[in-house]
Amino acid sequence: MDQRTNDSLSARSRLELIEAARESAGQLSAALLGSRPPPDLLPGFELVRELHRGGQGVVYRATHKRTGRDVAIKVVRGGPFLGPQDKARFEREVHILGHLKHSNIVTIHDSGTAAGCHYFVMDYISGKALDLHMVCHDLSIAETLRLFSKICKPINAAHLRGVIHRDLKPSNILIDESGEPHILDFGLAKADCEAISDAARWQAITVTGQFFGSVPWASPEQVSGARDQIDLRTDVYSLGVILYHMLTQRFPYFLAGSMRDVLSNILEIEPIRPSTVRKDIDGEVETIILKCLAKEPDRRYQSAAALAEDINRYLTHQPITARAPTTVYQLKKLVERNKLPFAFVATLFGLVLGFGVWMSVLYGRAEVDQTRAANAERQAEHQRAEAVREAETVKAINEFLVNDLLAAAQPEVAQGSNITVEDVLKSASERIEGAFPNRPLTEAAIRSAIGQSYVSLGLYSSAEPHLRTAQTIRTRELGKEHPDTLRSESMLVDLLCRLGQYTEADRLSEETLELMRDVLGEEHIETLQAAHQRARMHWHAGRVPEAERLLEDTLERRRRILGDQHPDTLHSLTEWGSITLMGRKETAKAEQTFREALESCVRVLGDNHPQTLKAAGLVAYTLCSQRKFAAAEEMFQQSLEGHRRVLGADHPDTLVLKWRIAKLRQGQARLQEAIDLFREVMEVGRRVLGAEHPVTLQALEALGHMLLLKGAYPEALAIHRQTLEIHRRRYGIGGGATQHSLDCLGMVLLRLGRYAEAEARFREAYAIMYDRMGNCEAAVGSLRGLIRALAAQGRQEEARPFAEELLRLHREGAEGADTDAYRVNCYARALLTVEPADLRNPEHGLEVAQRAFTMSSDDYHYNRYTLALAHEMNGEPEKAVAMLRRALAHVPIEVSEERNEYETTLVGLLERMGDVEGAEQIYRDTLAKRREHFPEGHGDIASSLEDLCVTLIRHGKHAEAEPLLWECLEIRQEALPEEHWQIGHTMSVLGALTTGQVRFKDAEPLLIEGYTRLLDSPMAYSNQTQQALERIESLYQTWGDPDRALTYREMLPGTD
Amino acid sequence: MKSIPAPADLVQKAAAGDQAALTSLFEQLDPALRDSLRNDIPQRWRSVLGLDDLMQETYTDAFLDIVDFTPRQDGSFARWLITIAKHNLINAVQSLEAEKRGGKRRRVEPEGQDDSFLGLYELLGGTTTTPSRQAARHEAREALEQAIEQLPPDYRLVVRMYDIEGHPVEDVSQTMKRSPGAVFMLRARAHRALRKLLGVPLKYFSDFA
Repeated sequence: MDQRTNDSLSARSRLELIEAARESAGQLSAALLGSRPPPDLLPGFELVRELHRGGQGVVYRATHKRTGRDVAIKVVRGGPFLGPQDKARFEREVHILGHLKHSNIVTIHDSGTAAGCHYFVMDYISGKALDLHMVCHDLSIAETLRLFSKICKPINAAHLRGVIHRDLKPSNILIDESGEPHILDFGLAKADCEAISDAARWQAITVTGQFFGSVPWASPEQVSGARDQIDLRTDVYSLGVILYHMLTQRFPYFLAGSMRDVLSNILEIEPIRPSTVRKDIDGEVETIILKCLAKEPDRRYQSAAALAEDINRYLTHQPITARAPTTVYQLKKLVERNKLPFAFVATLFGLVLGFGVWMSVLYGRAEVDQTRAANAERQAEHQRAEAVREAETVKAINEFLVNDLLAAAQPEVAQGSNITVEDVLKSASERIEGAFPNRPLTEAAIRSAIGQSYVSLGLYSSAEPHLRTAQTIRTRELGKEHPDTLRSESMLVDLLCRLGQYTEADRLSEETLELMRDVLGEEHIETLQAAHQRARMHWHAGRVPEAERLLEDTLERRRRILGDQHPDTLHSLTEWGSITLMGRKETAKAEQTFREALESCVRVLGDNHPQTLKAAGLVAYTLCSQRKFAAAEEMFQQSLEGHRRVLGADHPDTLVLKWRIAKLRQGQARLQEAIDLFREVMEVGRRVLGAEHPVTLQALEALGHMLLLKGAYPEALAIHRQTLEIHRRRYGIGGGATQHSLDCLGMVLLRLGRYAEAEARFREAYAIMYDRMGNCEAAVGSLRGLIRALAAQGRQEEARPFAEELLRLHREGAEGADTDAYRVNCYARALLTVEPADLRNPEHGLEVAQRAFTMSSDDYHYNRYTLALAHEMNGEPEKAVAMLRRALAHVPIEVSEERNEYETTLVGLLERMGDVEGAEQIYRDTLAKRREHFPEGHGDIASSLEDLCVTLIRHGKHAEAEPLLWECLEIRQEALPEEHWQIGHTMSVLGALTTGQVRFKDAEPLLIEGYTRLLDSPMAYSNQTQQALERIESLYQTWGDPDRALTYREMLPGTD
Repeated sequence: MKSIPAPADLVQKAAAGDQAALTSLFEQLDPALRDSLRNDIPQRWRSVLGLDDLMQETYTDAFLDIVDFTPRQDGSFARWLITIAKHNLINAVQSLEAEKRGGKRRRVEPEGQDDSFLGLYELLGGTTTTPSRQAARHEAREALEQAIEQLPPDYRLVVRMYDIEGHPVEDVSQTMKRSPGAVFMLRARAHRALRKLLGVPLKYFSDFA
């Protein structure tokens, strides 16, 4: 056997292969050409070419010789041997087409017999069969649905004339060049009137068990030979198969195997869910298709018009009727769609009418079923009773919607004001109390709807009473395990989580998930939603491994059951990216995940869906985390514009996005803009969500961090103390938020030199993180802080195990596949600065710092600073100085924290190199820049003055320093509250200066007051306070008063 | 599906019936098409269904059907070819799977050659309106025999050996010196040709005309 499995062909072999194909095609073509009929077979027409072959005949393109008009002629297969049944069908098609006048149904002009061949002449449509059209055009789902909706119209027109096609398939639907469909081949059509009046004739044509039509497109009633069940819903079924095929290029059933197998599949096997074949088919389109493909005609759309209408509803983002029209679903859709109040009101009226129509269909169907089949009597009765009960409920809901919910929108009430969705909901909330004294379940349904609508608007506290009442009513009326009660609980969990009420949400989510698994099953769509919520609660409660496991499990199940493109799956995917990947700082992978989610959201949900906007915000946030600021900026702005437009400026999701944009500003060193934005989020958050809501607290915490960067330590300290207290009280110890608050607080305490307190905070934060995730990259902040606090207290050996752990984590971060410049830089910095000092490795630190430097962009000054440190530690001070100067050039003037650190290092280095002037010049330059940049009297000018003066004093230039230092004190006294520690600190430095000038009497009051002020401020026990004490001791030593000097020395901490 | 561009002038010429242009297009696109299709052949069938088989059958179909192709935007020609290839592949794989499951599930048990003809006729989608199965068998055989005679030799051989005489695919494969996958693709096209031939009224009943 010549098995040509080698697929890498030479050009020659490739040509041989193509030539063989060409020869084979030529042979076949020649064989088939011989079968063409003579062009003058039909009198008056010249056959041009064959267009189509079907089971009943062949269609040719022809020219009408007299008029020159292009026509299509269908010649019935069988010629003179055509049996009476075939003749009857032929005549029927001529008759039916002759009576069907519709622009999308081919018109028949003539019919006759020639040379024993029956034929009829139709319009010639220049176009392609639907299946070919689909192959040649890359239609999106929406475009496909629009085309399909057009196809439904002529079918419905035929139905309205009592004609059922019975052989709908793509080859019977031609799409012309303008994209209009034309229905062909009514050869198998059945006219209802004839079927009733001429039953015997009908029976002669369709012998029971004998199949007409094309199997893959046929309905169960067709393949089972149940001709009495064939009605217009048979065509609806075929339309369903056609839509399935248009969207997936597949059939809903497996069509391989024997004919018996295929028929059995159509009769018995549930269709393959289209979303499993094509992932971007969403739940609603799937619902529409599956409703068409229901085995029982009663469960399908009752007409092609109803099907088209649902398609159009989907395309215009209205609720489809194929899904059970729960009030929650309807209202949610309304809130999503309606931005204008009048549009909202109008649609709501439509909803009311829609309910009426829907219920009358149910009601009417029950009547029809009752008369149709005696053995279905009980079922019909049940359906009727169900319909009556539902109709009564709906009537009550309708009355409420019309009389109460819409009351606010009535002109006499609105009085010309602009009524919003929120107003309408508020009005409904006020009126629902006591509106349903005997219908508690109706009240629960409406409350759920109102509650969910409030949630969609981001008005969580308004939603709370409604969702709580709905849950209470359902628990009381239906029991704890009823699916509706469980749904209510699930909604409540979601709301509590949004409200930040994690403790209650945690308890309720556990209970709900357990019951849902028992009652609805492990893989029910709502159980999966409950599992998703449970994972989130695990995370909030600090049970990170459990959260990750459950999220991954839910994501896998949703992918398998709902498909990759289902909105629920996409929600799981973004949550997994946020919690698992971002939690592990796998930012690049998170970016990729969010990008995939975003792409799918755009395709499946559209550009303006809140989930799409959220995904865009997350992509931008990951870009920001990777310092790709320009790309992040663009994406953030797009997302923000969408958030404002779709959700409004005060929506919690918009606030979260603004918080992220503020983080971007922070990364871009646009500190004041970041502070303003954090402040805005905090203020709006306080107003909309409450002072203790997680979003508000996060903004407050970020603001604290900004103040830390600006050197405003006491303000930062107050903020972090406040947020820590709230986090502990609301969320208990062990939460991620608490750990973060502890880290922030520890950082401020470190800056203030309160090392023992800082140590306690970092220890607690590290313990929380260790319990949550073990030693991981997310714990490095706490570890680093703890090491610094221990080292500052001279307890380097205690720091050793933590330092080793820190080095290990940084090394893994730097060497991992997901590494970036930031991680490599962190590792380098740890190698150079870790305590105890014997763990440092300057040589390796230099290599790593150089690697980080080459990976980063030019303005990434952190890496330059690390490289400078490395050069310095490897005995290359000149390189270090050059690198530090370049680093400083990239630090914006308003960034105090890093600028101070870099300047201090550079000045120290220059002084050690003997370049005193150079060292002073550093501060002189900064002072000049700050005088230029900031308004007179700005705190940062005072800081620069102080830095310069301290250096000048060190260099013995007291006279030059003194006026500058007085200026500094003046600024601080003017700008700061009287008790501010910086005033005391400046006084103390000024005292030291006058001590150096041997003006002891001038020095003494300055030093004592400075020290006292520091002692009274929140800066007690700070390094500044110690230094102030040391200066007093030095004064008395110099002044010749050793006893007093000793008194002050004994006050120093650590002195026995 | 990744877009594979093709020179627009060649595509226009090919669509207008220029076989040299079509051949040239195939030559140019062959490597990219192979890359695109290589992983579509299920691992378990790669020993009996090679990429060359798939490409040759695809080009044959494309030579035959180019008249139906209308050039559209960039990449449409390659997409069209890939669609043909995937149809061929599905046909082959389904047949191979069916063969593995029960051998002859997709063809009629050849109790007698008349039954084989009737089975093949039904398999091709033919429906008969005659009430007598005996008559149907006779008619089907006659119609089919005529149609099979019109087929090119390779198609004729595969239909005769596999569908009518009931030889296992390995035998057909050996006789035709083609892989089993190629045999099934060839058979699928032979069936399409038969459907066309059977659908022509002037040929269905020999005494018409």
